[in-house]
Amino acid sequence: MREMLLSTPVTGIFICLAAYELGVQINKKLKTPIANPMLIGIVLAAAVLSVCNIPLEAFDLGGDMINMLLTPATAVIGLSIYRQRKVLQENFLPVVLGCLVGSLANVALIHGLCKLFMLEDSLLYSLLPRSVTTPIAVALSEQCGGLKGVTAVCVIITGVTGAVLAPTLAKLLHFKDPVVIGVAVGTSSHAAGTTTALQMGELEGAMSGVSIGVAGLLTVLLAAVW
Amino acid sequence: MKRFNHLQQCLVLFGLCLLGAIIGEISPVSVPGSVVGMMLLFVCLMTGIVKVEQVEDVADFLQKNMAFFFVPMCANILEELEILKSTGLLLLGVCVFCTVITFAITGFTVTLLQKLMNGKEKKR
Repeated sequence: MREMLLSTPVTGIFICLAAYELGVQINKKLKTPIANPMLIGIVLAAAVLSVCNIPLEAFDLGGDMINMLLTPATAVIGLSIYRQRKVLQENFLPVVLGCLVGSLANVALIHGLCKLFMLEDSLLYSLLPRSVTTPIAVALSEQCGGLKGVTAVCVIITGVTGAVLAPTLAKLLHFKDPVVIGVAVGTSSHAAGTTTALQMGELEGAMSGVSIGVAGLLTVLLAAVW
Repeated sequence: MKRFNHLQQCLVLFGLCLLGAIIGEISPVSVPGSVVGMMLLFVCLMTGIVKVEQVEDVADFLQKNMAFFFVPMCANILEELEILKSTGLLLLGVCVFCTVITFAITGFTVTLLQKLMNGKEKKR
């Protein structure tokens, strides 16, 4: 029985769906953005894997199928950007410069903190690209001599942080303009953060999507000169 | 314009993703296929090669559920957290701290630039 369950992708898909749905329900009950459905889903799914002693390879049979959908899901942000093209046109310069300043600040900050805590260089290079989307970050990290695994973990932590904290931060800092919120989310926490931006509004989501692209490209260029 | 059915919409979207992956692979700097795909979709919509009705339903479905698609990858990484070992907490702190500060700096920069540009327009 166990053998059969571990060899079918349905198990992994079911765990993810159930964990996420529970996350959505808990989020509805608690009514706070901190109780992010994605975060709850991740923790629950990981807990099920540990408790039931399900090996990652078995989970990935289904997990990879869901994972694959991230590519088209990121691509369709292009549609949101198209729908919001007028706002983008009006705010072109603030958006691009915002991404640039944000990316620069991020790289400088990490550099400073790593020196402060005297972390090894390999960790520094693993951390530097963490604000951009996973494929760019991992490629950059490898290129500079960072550790791929560490980078992937840091990218995820960053994305989840952005997704969970964005609404609260926006309130605290009095960011009301959807363009401001969108660019801040996209630059600081890539596509995972964008999921929250999309829930805040299509304009926020679209700007966040633009920022993933712009900040990603700028970080690649920055890394080349750093 | 005739609306495409779901499979036809998938054909358009996955076609663009595939093209994006190919372009990302042959370009000198490493750009992920999904980001190139996003740009391609935008360009295709702008030039009218692809109409909104030809991708809308599937695109909205994918976008609304994007958070869910992150669950398996993140759960996977949570399981592998041991690779972080002793520096784990420190890295966590650095990541969270830097994300918050980057968020704030980016937001303030955009706000400032918007104000500057609006001021200029009013003077004209």
